[in-house]
Amino acid sequence: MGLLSRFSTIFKSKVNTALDRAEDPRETLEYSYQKQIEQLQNIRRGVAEVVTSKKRIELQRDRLQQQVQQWDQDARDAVKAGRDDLATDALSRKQTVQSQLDGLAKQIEDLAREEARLLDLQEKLKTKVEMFRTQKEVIKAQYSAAQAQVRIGEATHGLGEDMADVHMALERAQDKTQALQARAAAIDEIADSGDLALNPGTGDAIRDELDKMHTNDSVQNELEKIKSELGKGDAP
Amino acid sequence: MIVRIMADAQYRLTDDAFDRLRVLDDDLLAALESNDEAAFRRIFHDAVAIVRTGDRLGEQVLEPSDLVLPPEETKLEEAKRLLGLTQ
Repeated sequence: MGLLSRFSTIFKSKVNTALDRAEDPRETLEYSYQKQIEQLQNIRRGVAEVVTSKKRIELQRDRLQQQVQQWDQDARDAVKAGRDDLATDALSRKQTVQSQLDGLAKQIEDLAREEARLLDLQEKLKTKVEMFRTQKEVIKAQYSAAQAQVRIGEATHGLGEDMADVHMALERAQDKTQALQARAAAIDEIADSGDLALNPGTGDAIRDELDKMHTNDSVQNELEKIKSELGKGDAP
Repeated sequence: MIVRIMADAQYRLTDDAFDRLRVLDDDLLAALESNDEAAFRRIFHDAVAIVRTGDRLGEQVLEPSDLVLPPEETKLEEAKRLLGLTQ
């Protein structure tokens, strides 16, 4: 059995577990329908939460962006006052948070894509639940027919798959949102305390040391740039 | 045969296309077992492409799938997790 077949089996067993069977197939229909309506409401709530969390993360990002600008201004003020030491501090804070922000921005973009897809899936699911409601009545009307049972199984499983699909998409978006929230909060902490030691390292001492060296270099470069812009640089 | 790509849609495939998918299915497992991310991505990309040659089923269709593919952007680590091989 290949990978996709294994995955299908796992996925379908999830669907089956979700579709707790009632004895009478007609009851199964009603039961599934009620369950679908409930799940649809849960999903709607979940999607709304993801949307709200994402907005919060975006606000946090904007706030950090403002701090980066503030430090840039602070650095310029310090240079004007002839305090290169203060300017260097301000610039290294600015660069530390800026590099964290760049990563965050990319993750927010990823999340936005997942969110758009989730909303799309949710819309489709709504249509499908409505289809199920219509089919349910048709199937019940022709219950005597031998085929009815097969059709009940197909309709409930078909929709059950959609439910499980949207549910997993929701879980994925929720996981990402949580990870992003944690990350944004961590950056916030660095930005607020100004403690660069809080900067999460890569775990590789040599890599961290090299990163630090690059940051120092670029802080110096930026400082020189500001100084020359402000006419405070060493004469060329 | 009906194949679902999660977070996308269901597609009705010809027997021929489904057979080609079956071949990739085994290759995919081999890539996973040898931890070959590049091969995994390539084969999975091909598998998704084959499924998309089928007729996309609309929202009016309520039928179970014969095969289910994880979402298009699934990476090797995620695939392992989905199969319950890692936490």
